[in-house]
Amino acid sequence: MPARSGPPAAMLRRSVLPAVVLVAAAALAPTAPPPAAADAGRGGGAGVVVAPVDPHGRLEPPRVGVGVTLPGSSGLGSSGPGGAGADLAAGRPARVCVYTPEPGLEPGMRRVGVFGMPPPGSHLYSLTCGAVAAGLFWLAPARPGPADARDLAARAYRELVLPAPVIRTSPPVGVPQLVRVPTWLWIEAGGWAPRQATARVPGLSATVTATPVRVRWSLGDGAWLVCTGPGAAYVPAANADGGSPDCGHTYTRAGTVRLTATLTWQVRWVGGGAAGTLPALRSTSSQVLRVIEAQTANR
Amino acid sequence: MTAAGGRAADQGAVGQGTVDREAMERRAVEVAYRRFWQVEASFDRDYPPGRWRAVLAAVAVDPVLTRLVAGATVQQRRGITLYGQIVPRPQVGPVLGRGSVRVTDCQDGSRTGQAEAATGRRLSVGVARMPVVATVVRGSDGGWRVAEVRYVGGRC
Repeated sequence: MPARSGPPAAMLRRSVLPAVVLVAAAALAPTAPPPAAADAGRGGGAGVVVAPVDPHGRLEPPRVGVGVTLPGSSGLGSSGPGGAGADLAAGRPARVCVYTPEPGLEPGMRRVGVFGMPPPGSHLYSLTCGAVAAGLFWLAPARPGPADARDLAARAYRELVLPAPVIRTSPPVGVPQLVRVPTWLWIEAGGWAPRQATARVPGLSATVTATPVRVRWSLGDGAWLVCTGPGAAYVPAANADGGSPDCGHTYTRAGTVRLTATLTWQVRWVGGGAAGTLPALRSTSSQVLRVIEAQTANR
Repeated sequence: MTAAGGRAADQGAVGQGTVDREAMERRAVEVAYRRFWQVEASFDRDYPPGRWRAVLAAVAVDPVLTRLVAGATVQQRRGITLYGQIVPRPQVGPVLGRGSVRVTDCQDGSRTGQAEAATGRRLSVGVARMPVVATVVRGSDGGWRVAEVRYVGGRC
């Protein structure tokens, strides 16, 4: 029984936020609310970054829409700082943010003191994340060390692009599940792979790697289940009528249930000869299932 | 009695004139503010880089002026341009003593953003309600120009 396709893989993007070392950070606004989904849709399709502030990238650095939940929050669309849902194609590589020295622009900017007065030893840099210009910053990268690498890692952390889990079930979504018949649960294999993001300043870079570690399935009937892998995919010829070996559920009552898969990502960083961990991230998606009695199906 | 009545009438006229002048000033500020966003969206496409500062100087002063020129310079080098236009919804505050006005705005940026200059491919897009606080100042020529723009975040 081939599994029916689930929803398109919704890619979630974390916000572009200035690095801790930036003077500009002090002048930045507080967190912008997540824009409505319609906001993301008007931009012209997949891959368009949603900028909750300054979409032109000249007056304030934009903080780009996301959708990845922060630790302690939950669910798609209830994103963290700067959060906003944005659909991107699955498998899209993580964006890299690059700082470029701007010696030609520095004297003028120093003269008028934009983005605050530059601290001693700092220089003007422009920031580009992917293809999007993200503004100009005062930056003092003088002697990179582990502390600076941590700052960069924090920045790269915000640049991670994580896929929402694509839910698969057997019987497939769209086909009624049967009471007292095992339902197989798994997420599409492409969504269970490490994702990376890198942030750089001259002479130093830091890379964060998000690795999926578990899926928490909220089964919609009051039960939940934690699977430490993506779950075994149902193969008609091999699996016959048995239950999933590692990730399944048997509904005992008929009705309509919302099945939610929350994927937890463990995040590590390396850079400047140092390494560490960062708070885990979560990405979530849901499907509605109909559960019926077998007798109903046979009528 | 007549004199007293005359004074009363004069005072009323003066008060009304002040209100009218204030309203006219605020209207002029709003017009200048809206004009700023029109120019901001297209000056890099409409004019060569050597004229950007002069064009912007009609609607902006430092620090916003220099910031816009610098930002557009970087973007042009990277092959980035803008599409669409910010739609302002300004609320103009009172005119302060030194010819300075605070404008609070809830901008619609949902149809504008950055694009690849070569292909027109859209790279970013704003949102429908962006809170902005701006400072508009009166120049020596009497004209109003935007001096500062801050995207303050939050809701509007």
